Amino acid sequence: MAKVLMKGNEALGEAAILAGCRYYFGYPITPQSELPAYLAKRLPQVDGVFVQAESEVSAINMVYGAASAGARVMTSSSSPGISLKQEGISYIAGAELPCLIVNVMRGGPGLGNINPSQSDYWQATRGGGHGDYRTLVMAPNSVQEMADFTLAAFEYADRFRNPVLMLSDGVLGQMMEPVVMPSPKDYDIDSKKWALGYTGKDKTARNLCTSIFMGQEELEEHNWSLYQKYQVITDFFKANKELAVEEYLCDDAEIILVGYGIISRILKTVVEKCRKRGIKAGLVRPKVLWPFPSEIISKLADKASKFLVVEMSYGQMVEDVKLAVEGKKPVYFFGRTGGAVPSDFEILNEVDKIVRPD
Amino acid sequence: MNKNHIAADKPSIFLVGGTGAGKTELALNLSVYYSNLFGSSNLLDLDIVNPYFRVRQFVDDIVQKNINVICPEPRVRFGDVPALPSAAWGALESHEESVICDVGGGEPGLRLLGRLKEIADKRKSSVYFVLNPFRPDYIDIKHIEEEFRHTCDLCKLDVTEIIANPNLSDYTTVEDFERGLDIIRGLSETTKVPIGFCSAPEKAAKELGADVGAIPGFCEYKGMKMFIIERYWSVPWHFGVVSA
Repeated sequence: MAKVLMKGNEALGEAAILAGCRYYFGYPITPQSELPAYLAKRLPQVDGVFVQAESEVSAINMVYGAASAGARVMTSSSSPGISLKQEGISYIAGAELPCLIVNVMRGGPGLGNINPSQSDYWQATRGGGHGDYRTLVMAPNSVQEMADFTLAAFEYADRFRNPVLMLSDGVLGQMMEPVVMPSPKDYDIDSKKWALGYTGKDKTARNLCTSIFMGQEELEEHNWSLYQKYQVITDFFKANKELAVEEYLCDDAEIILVGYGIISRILKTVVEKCRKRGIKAGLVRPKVLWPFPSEIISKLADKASKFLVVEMSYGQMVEDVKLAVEGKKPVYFFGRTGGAVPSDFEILNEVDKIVRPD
Repeated sequence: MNKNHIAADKPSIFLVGGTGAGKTELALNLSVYYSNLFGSSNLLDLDIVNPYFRVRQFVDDIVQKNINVICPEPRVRFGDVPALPSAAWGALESHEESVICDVGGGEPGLRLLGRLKEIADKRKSSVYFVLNPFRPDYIDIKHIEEEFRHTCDLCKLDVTEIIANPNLSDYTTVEDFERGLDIIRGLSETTKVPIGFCSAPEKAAKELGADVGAIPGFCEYKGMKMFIIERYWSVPWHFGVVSA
């Protein structure tokens, strides 16, 4: 496909089709509604299935069903809708089913408003639902990455048999940028030997996808197996640093700015402006939020003297940064909420206050 | 003073077209242009669906340019409800001021225009179909023509002119612009609806070799009128990387 001008929500939808996703179940909510609207139009053109469910709860359970059958499947919503899906996400994680869940974050808590926000970080990275489980969490920062990360997300979901959560926000979902769609990927449904209906060439017994394990020993064994899988995912991103993190001008940085998603774009501007003013600033942008790139930040804390975390929240990821820095260096925070996107000017002022307190 | 003369000079313009065509940016700039020309103008926000990037976000900025922004009242301005401002009818009926209508919101927004048809026809409004051919639905001229016909059917107004707005946001090259313009010329030939003007921000217009004057304002570009616009969508990530 040639370069086209797309909204982030649309780009993600098109990329899902290129990834082989043929099932979408969801319910409209601003600011993600362009995504189901796009797929409602596109999926029938590729013999796919689009269902506007009667609720978010229904939608996530339809995802459970399609994922159990081995299909590439997705749902999407915005913050309050993602809260509604939590029970189903826990079940899907427990049953070890691959799928993509997209959260185009809006302001909260409660109904909040329709403006952009990053206040669902805890919900995304700590599980959100009940039980010992993890979702792999990806954080794009451009319309191009909304597309690229979607293909990667379906790959990771299948590879690790785990739900992947794409943590976007209202700005990324609604903004338009030029995008070149990635090449389509095929996947082999027959390789999913765990899926319902898989009989293989030798007609093996029926599979069961479930998250219920009645016996204490049985559940403990299952949870231990999940824990080991989460360790495998963590090790994968430790070994493939470039997939997990973007570092920018960190080598000689005295202050390192940390932000994800759309904030990281603003921080890059701030880093440039700092450098022009003689302040050695750098940027760390986690592309994957769980597993969090703690090791990389910890190493940077051996060199840099200060950290400033910026979020569209009152401070959630900052806790992970503090854990990673292990008290070696001070970690400062600046955040805006309610739909406010901090300006480069505001952040530059914060940097000034930290670096030049007098 | 001859009222008919005033009515003829102070236009009523409806901007229609698909999402991402650039209607809002054009509406803002046309309002400023006519305000500079006549001392004031009305800007009617008829985008009842899209949650972000609407005219109403600029009320505080452009009210200083003697533009009367007609949009839902403050308490529901950023609500997720399809509210239509009651002052819209007054602005269209008065004939005393130019009025620029930004008709966003895809199909629901266009259907809304049916309700305004009588008043729009009475005022001999101009209906501009704004086209950016770099949207994903526009695979070829056939798809663009379908969208054009669909738009005309839905809004119940006769499109008077096509506005050529070929762009890939701030990443538009000269080649992109020319390629897009060729596609739009194709639509004009097929539909027999003339291209009223093309549009570009100042920087792009200079790169294209247009003789840029006042902004916003008109100049010549290869025998066509070009409307030079100011970008109102300023984003705080000028240095942000787009890998496309």
